[in-house]
Amino acid sequence: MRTVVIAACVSVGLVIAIAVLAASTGSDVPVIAVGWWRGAFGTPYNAVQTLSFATPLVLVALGVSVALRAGMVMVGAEGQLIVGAILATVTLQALGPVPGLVALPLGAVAGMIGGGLWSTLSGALLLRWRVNEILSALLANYLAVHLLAYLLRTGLRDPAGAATPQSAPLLAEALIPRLPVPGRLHVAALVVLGIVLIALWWHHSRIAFIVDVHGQRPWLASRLGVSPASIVLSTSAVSGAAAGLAGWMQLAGVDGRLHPGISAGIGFSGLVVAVLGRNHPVGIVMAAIAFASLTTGANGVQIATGTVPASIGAVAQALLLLAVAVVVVVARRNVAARRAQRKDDRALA
Amino acid sequence: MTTSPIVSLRAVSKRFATVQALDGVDLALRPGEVHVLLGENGAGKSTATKVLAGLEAPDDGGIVLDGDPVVMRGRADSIRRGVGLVSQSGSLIGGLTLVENLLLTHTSWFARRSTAVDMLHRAADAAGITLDLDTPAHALGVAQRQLGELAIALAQGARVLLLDEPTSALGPHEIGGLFARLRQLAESGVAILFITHRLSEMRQVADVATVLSHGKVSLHGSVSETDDDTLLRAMTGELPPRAVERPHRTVGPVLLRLAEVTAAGPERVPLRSVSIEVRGGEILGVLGVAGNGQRTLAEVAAGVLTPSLGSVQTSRDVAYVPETRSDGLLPDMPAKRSAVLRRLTEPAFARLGVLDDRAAGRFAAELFDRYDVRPRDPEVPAALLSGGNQQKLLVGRELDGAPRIAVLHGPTQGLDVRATEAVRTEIRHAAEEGTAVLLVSSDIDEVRGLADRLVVLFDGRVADQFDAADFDATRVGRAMAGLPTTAADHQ
Repeated sequence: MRTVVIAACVSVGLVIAIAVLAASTGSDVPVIAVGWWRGAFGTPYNAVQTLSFATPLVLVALGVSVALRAGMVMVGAEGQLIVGAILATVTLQALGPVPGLVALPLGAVAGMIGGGLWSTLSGALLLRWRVNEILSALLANYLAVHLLAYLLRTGLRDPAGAATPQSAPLLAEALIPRLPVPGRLHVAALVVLGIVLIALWWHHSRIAFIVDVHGQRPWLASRLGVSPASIVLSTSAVSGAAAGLAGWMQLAGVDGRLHPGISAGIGFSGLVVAVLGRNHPVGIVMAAIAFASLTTGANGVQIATGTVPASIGAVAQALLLLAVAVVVVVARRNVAARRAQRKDDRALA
Repeated sequence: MTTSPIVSLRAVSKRFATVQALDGVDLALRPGEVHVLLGENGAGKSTATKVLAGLEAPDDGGIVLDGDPVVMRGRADSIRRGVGLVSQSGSLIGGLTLVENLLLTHTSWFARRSTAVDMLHRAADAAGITLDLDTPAHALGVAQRQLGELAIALAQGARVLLLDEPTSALGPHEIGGLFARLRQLAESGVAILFITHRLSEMRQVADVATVLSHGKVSLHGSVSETDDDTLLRAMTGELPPRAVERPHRTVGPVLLRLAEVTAAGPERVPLRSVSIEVRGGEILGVLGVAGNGQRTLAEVAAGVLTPSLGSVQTSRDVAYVPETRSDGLLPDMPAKRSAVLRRLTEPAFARLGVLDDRAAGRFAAELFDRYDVRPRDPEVPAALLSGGNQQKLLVGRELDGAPRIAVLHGPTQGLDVRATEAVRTEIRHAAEEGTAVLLVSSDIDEVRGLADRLVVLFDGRVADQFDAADFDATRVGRAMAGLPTTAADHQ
């Protein structure tokens, strides 16, 4: 209840903040709104662009929501996405020229394995030594970023020798084909749609309820024959695999090669989307589209007003991130207090 | 009594969603008087207390303090006005010591530790309590926690003390001590409101009684002039059936065995090399002053806690009613979700892997009927049920369908006379069906009335054990106090 109130206050504050920011450039708010709509959904091309920005966000957010239900706040999607993209690159380069029917699934699986392993690291640390998963995942993010920078200057460096640290472009067979629509939406977006349907089933499934039970009363879940270890490891692996898959999609569907900016902040944005979508798959899809529309809509705002720069979109997203952080912390306080109590009890005994 | 009341409720009504918790209730608390509030589960006792403590605002009617109508704006306000509360679930912060808990409620800008220590010492002395001021609250026993809350309330300058079932987790020794302190406090001019379900203990301490039934005052009078039957009729409208004779049960093989178990659990006292055996169809009672290892023993037997030494033979099919009832429920979800938790993996509760919430609702409705959980609405979040109804839901879920082993920790705590009898009947019934029952309780009469054999825990060890037929109050009392039982008593 308190969380809902806080969420409401935060969103009202957010709208006011953006309006004040935009109005300070001397533009009319209605003009800005119309510009945003044109940029995000006004033309078929723009609408498809919005969807293509939303696709990886949906994937990451679905993964995050699985872990959230088990009581784990997964902030490691950024690193998982990067490691997924790295492993996919390594696999595809090692494979050499193979038909697309081999390269695409193998790239996807490599991405999922990379992301899954990276997040299982945090899950295992939580299980074995009760290391806070937020802390370990944040640190694992740094590790992933610097691992990427290191590899792009050494083993994965483009032999064609550009000064910029980036890998050689992927072979054409390894790239995800585009859908025959205006805009740059790739075929894997249909895979994401399928994953959304599976997530919808899972959301209402009995096993997801058992994961909820574990998040609240671990002993009740383990009495049903589901051990804490299996829940923590499987949910963290699934959430990491989703982020890793998104990493492969960015690599093979958008950028075409590995470079330091491959993650483009999708890992953190995905967490925002999961919380905004209230962990429900449909909510997540809507939140992801809304979030992506801030990026595409900002271009429309710039065109419509001539004075408001497109970076207003990034500012709005950053404000949203901050706002969600507040809501997550408040919602999490209870979980943290319970866990701390248990830890105290153990230490004492 | 001619003294004017310190605080009183005037025609107070309060409604929660579909439940009329209070309906025009009058209640006057006078200085020097111990006032007992009786009633069935969900009769409105806790709500009345919360209104007095400023935790709930009345829908209708008002509070009168020292002759003037007042509005209590939250707990801080009622503390300032001298209303102290020792709640059912306890309100101390576990990681903090008693002194720090007192400091937390301090309203002045400069809260000094030494002053707080002084105030607590003075309050404890006035009430004749010895307290451990520097141990984190969660490491204190239940009794110490409750006395600590009492001392904190007094240190805050309480003139009115509200005690919501302070004795439900205490042993007889501790209850006697608490009562002596309450009488002493009353004589010094404090007004005390006391909620309990135990008529016999209420007679030891209370001057006046008010009985609530379905949110209305059904009886008000002096304790010495009202007999038990009148009180029971006012509470329930009928007399509870007498306890049945213990039937002869066939005892099966050992289903639950703890051998030389040493375990560090949630209590300060660990379990030290404890061995027990419970056979199918047998009820083993565990007695002891709260905090002597009972909770750890229950958790080990239920398979929740892994012992550091020793072996446990148990079954996957264990019913467990934990001491803290919310540990067994999902407070924020509809109660039906809590109700299916033991049977969740059965095929009936999922279709194509999807949780069948309607099947869960039907199952819960049936369970609510059988165990008289009120209101009969499985959609209500479990946290909104009254304490007693939560307990009925929990016990019903766990004992449903004859489990192989049942570990019950205080299964009737917070229940009224009728519900207590119903739960005891269920426990007997489970044993007749072949369940091995481990019954942990601080209610000696309950354990004596149900158990076939008894074990007394003291300081994490088995201090004494004997058959129910050999029950001897003095011997039990000595064992619970950690005194040697005479050699002749040992078989």
